[in-house]
Amino acid sequence: MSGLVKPLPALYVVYVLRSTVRPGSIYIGSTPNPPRRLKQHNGEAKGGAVRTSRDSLRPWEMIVLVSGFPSSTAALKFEWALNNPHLTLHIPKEERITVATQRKRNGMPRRKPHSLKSVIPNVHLLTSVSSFSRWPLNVHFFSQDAHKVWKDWSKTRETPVTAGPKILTDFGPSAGDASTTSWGIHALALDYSPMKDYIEKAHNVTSFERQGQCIHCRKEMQPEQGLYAMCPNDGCEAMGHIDCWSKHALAGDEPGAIIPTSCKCPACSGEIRWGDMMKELSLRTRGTKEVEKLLKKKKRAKKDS
Amino acid sequence: MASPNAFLLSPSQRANQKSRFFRSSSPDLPAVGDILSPNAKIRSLKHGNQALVISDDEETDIKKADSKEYTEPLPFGPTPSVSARSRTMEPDDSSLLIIEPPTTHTPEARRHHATPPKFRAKSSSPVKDERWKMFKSKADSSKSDIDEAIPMEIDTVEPPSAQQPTFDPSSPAIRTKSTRAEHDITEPLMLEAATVRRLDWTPPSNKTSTILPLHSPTIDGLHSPGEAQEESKSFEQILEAYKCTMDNLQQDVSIPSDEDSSILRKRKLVELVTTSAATIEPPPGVKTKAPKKQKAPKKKPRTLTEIATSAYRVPDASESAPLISDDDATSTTKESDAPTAKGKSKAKPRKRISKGAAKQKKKATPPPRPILLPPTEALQEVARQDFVFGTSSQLAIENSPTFLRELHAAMRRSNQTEYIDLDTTLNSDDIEPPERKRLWAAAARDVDGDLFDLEMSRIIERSSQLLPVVSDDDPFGYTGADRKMTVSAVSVNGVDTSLQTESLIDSTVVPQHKNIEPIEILDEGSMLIGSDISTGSPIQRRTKSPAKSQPIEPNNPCKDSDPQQSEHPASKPSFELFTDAQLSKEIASYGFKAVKSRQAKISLLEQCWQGKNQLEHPGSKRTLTTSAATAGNATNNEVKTPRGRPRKNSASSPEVHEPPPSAQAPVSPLKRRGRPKKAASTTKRTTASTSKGKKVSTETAEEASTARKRKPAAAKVVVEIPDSESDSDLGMSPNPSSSPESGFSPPPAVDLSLSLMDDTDPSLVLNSTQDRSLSYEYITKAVKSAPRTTDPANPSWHEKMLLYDPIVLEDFTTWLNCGQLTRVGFDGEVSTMEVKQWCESKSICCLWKVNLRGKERKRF
Repeated sequence: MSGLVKPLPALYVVYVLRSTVRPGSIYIGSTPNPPRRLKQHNGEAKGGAVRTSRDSLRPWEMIVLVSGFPSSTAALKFEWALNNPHLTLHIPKEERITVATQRKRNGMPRRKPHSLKSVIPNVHLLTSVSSFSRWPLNVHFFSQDAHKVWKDWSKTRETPVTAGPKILTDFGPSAGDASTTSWGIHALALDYSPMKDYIEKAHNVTSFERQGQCIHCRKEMQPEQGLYAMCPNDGCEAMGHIDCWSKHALAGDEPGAIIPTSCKCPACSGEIRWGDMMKELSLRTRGTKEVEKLLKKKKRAKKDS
Repeated sequence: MASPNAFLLSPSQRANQKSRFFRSSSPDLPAVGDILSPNAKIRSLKHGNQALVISDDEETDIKKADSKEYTEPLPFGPTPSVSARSRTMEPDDSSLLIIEPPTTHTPEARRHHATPPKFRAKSSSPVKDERWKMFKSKADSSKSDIDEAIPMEIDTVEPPSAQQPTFDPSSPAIRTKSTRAEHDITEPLMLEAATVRRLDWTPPSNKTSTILPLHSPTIDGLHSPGEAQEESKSFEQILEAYKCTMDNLQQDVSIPSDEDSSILRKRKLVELVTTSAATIEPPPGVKTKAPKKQKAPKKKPRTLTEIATSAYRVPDASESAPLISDDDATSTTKESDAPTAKGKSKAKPRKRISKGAAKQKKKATPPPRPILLPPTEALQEVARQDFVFGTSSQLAIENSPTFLRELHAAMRRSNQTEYIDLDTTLNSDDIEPPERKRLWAAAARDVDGDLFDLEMSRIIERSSQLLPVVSDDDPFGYTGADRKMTVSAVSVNGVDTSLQTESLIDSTVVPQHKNIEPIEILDEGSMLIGSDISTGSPIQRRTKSPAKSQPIEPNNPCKDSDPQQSEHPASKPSFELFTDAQLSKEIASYGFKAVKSRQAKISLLEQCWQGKNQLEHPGSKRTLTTSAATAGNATNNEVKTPRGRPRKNSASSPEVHEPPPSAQAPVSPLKRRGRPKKAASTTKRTTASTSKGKKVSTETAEEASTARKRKPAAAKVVVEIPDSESDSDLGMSPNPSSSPESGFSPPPAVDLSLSLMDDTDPSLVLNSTQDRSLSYEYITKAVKSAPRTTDPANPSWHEKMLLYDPIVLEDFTTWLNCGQLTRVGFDGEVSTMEVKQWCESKSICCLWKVNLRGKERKRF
């Protein structure tokens, strides 16, 4: 599987772009590097989408951002679904919010133009839909009105999404800064640096082959003989087979589930997001280069300091 | 002479030509001049002047356009116009030098050669005509200077005296020329060689020819008619011709560039000459110009869109008509001047007309009337049409569109038919042409060994049973003959040579009857025997017809065969009676792993059995069976429903069938006559067909057609199923054919469609929810229960999913279907769509192996 070559991306987002000049203009895209992409949309860098190339609509701002996609493929799927909420099969028929009433010349249903009030509910819907609900997604709001639409919409939903995305809001320094868009995006970490400690911890354990026994099945974990996930919580080196972890994490979940969303570490009883653990595991097993890079940086930084 | 050069020259080169003309002429001129009268000065003068001359000519033209009468300029030499003339004369001089050799020729020849200059003059506006006169007068004057007699004539024509002085000072060369001209006149023989030289630079002969006559009259008109004038005329003509060439060149470049340049570039010089000649001929400059303009628009280069849409235009008579009219007008203007020119001009317009008409006709004819459908309808029309792929020869030869399709189907079937042949060969004594088939079949079966053993044994049994019955060999042979016949028909079309070879073999092997029969059939060919393969081509139909006729007569063999057929179906279903051990054995024989549940075993075995039958017989059935047969078979065959092609066959088959029945009825008796033996011995196929026919009622044409269709199928099937007993049996036999067809349907299309539909088409997704839930459970179970990997680089599917890896559906489905589901206790297979839905229900990121562009993903 060629897919094994890459670890989970440090960041991959689907963003909702809105024109600051004409708020009615909305664009949905995906990128692993939101600041760079925003520059492209605003014409400061090469490669912006044609739809955002009109000078009269610039500058653009990212008001909503869905992060945590486990792969570019996943992000693209989500992006397509969000761009085509009237077509995507990920949304069950009975739950579909955006329904096409017209057809294009080629016979495909025509979607009404995006609006904040259609996009946000669709984000809410898609993050709760079975196809995406178990992905380790986060929804960032960098705009008050967008967050308000989200909240309003969430209220109308009878059952709040249990396994739904993690909601993050960053409206920036409210009054002080004029550059409201820059902070939100630029606050995002584009690399694995937030996981440095976690990665280093696991790296050390595996490099010294201190895996020991699976915390779940108590069987010896032979180094390089399987996929062993480690608790991301500080100081906790609980390690176990990936499937043991999943079994543990799915204990209270619905019966047929395959992918857990979160669990409590049996050792430290800290909350664990499955996505974090998998990101580290994939990085450890598939991204030795990234790990080295990260750890080297850290060492240098230490030296410098 | 000049024409070939002109043709060789590309239109773009024309401009160059002009320059070349002058220059080339100049070098030529000195050579001639040297011969005639050596004057180095003349050469230099000429050369130096030539370049100037062209520009001057243009200027002069303009000046002339100012409405200066030739009479005016003539008398007054020193006027600027005169000077211009003198300059013009210089180029003329060069032309004159060249011309000299033609002078030696008879005036006619001169005319031909000289014509181009005339064109120039004529083509040029009245001003040009004036030039003409000017030139003439000049020439005359020069002549007069040298030779009194000639100048006298010239004088009559124009007042050369005034011009003479101008010429004299301007260039002594002129005088020399005139002298040369005199020499030429005196020495016609010497000059001939020079004419040859002219050929290189002179314009195409056509021009000359056409122009000359024109010139002569014009000249005559201009000049006072006189006996002596002829010589002078010849001179003048020659001069004029050269002048004209100059003028023409100028016109082409400078003046006519707008009108003629496009034409010149695109059309051959000849045409241009004619047009120019026609226009030029009428002395009035205005008239000449106007026709030119008219012609030019006619000649306007067509745009691609024009050409493309021309087929859909209502043919405009105006287009062709105007051209003709113009030509006619020009010709009329020319009048007596140039009969030759007229002829040429007419010929040219004819050509044009013919071309245009032909184009129009061609374009118009193929679509009875140019119907331009709106895009939507056009698309629908396209959708209705089947695209046939074949060599151009095939496509060209085939009359009916269905034929090629059927041919392809027949080709495929023929491969399958070989199976049939095997069966038949086993049974048939006489005809065992296809040992290959046996080998092939044997090989196919042997590969798996156990799998085919059952079938082999069954087949052997059948064959043994059949053999006694068959003295039937005849029927087999007959069937073989039928095949051969069909094949031969195909070969006739040129499609299958191999089949022909078979037919030959058959003919050799089989008694003469067969050979005779096919011929007869062809003759009878009355029209249509809806043979499976040949449906498209009448020939094939004919060939098939005998088969039909045969089946009717030879019921007995059919009956014999029928029991076999009945046996076959009977043999299949006894699985439930088997013990578990037996069942497991059977399953093992098919190469499957052990299945736990008894029902699963039985169902699997049944499927396998059906599959075998299909494999063995169905192929043959397919080949022979037409759509109708397939349809009938389809009912019997539960296994597979043909997706893509069966429709085609069905569609094609009805067409074929309808016509054939009428024809068949007469044909069939003939066949009987020809092949009584064969008929009696009719192969199983025939019997099957006969039985069907009997049931249906052979009388009705439709039924007959169906019977025919069935016959081939039955014949193919024959090995497996004997015809005689029951229609149902027959029906059984044909069924397999349908299944094989389904097998042929291209799988990739499905995959693509799935991939495309992936996110958008709910219809595909829809399935019975119950089945889903059930299969989902097993999939989940299979995934979770799979052992964890020992190699971090190759995680298990479960681990991949836990790692959020995108799952390739095809691979995962394959993994599930290759034992994993059965390991979990799920009997059956899951489709990729099911797996996809399962993945999406589990938030597992899945994708197709092939991306939307049809290429395999290389990264995720």
